[in-house]
Amino acid sequence: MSFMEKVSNLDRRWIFMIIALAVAIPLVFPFSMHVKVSEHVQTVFEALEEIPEGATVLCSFEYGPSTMPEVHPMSRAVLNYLMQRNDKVIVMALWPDGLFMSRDILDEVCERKYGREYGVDYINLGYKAGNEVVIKSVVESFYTTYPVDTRGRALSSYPIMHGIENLANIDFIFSFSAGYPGTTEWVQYAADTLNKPMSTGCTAVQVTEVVPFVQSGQCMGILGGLSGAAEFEKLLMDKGYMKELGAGNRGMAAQSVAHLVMVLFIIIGNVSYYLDRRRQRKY
Amino acid sequence: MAETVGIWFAALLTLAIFSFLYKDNPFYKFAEHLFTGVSAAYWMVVAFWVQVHPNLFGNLWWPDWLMRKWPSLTYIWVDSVEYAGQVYASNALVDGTLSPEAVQQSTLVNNVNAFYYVPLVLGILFFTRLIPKIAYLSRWPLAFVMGMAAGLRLYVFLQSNAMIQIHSTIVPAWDLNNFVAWANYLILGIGVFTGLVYFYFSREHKGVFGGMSRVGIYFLMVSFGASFGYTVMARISLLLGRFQFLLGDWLHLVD
Repeated sequence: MSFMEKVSNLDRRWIFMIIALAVAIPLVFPFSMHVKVSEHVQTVFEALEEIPEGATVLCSFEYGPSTMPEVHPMSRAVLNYLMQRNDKVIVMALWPDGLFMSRDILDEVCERKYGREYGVDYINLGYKAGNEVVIKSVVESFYTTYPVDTRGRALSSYPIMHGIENLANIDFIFSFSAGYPGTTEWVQYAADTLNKPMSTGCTAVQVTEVVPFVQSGQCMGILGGLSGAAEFEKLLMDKGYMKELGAGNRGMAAQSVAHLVMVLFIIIGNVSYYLDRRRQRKY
Repeated sequence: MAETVGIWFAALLTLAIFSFLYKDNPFYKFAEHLFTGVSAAYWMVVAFWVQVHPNLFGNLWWPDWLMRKWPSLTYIWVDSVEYAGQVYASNALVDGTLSPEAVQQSTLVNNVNAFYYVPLVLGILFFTRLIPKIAYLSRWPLAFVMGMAAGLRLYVFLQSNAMIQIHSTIVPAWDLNNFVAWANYLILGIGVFTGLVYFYFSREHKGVFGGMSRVGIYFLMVSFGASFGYTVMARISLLLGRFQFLLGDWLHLVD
């Protein structure tokens, strides 16, 4: 049996093993990767830079533990940036799990790292069931959609909500999304309806779905997958908003090695297929 | 201690799920069934306490004695509380602002919205599916949901996914001020046109029409390739997350 025949009949468990090693080894023995900032990530940054400092930004969390490795680094980086600019952050969730994700990030970034005051600098409205209907509802009023925040207090009792009646009073929308409801629904029901600037950080799977909105200007840039998070961290560090790179960049070495292995397997698979086909034609 | 047990349990379940890559086995089956059961229970509890409890029950009429007897369960239904000439938010019933005696003597303001009896009835009709004789009634709420979803989405899809997309595809020639922009929009134009040709099935795909259809396929293949590439990146990221947990939180081999 030739080498190529052996490869084409390779037990798929060997491939699983090699991919596992390709991910695990760079994690145990980390090395830095050069990260080039893409146009879409640059657009996100420029769109955020255009809003005045101290603006009110709505961050919506539409992801859960399963997509946490991809989207959490983005939300951490974006919240870091917003806190550095002293922006006011209103957080809500269209996914039940999004509530826990937002709590984790707000505790880590707003409370522990920057010592911001709840209700003054940021507020967590929590999860509300209803998918896109919730977006339509906050376009009308925050107070009827969320009578109370996650701490059970009336929204009107918080200084951050003074002068904020509905989504029209928000300066920028940022959606951290892993599916439905998510970025697409925010574009359809909020950004296009109110002509409001918005950006998104979403899972890599969603990128091809969201990019048409980015190209048409309906969404201002996109942070796509772990690489989007790594690029945004790099950009923030270059601009002086971050002192050290975060989880996005830490994962890029493993991500890149795994991709190289995948590409190698695809090439070997194709070469093996063509050689096999040629051999069959010959006989 | 509890955290350590939790991490060990999560790590062993992760390994149980991974074990399927070798072959199907009882450990995988256990983890799979546990995950399915916990997920179903979690979603049901969340849907009830986050959606039905505050949104539906909070807008229906309830006797005062019920809300006073279990304030921790029902305070979310109360809009405001009046006591000794002062108005309090409903959480005053449970956060210690009002004493138990004050809770009993206060006036509970619960703004009933009669409109919410409609979703209550429609919601109950869903369960008629369990009684074969009147199972047909369950179609009514289903028809309502489908009609509402269609009405809600039709306009925004036309606006965001069709009109604005078409508008941004057709760019005036004088806006294209360099060769790259021209080349980009030429490729875009050919891609859109040939892609549409591929999905035109009222004419046989042969000759020039067939050629254009074939070009359309190539554009579609490029699009699928991009989707596949991003999907691989997403799946590797998820694997990365699990490995970070196993090697970091569990084995402490990485920071």
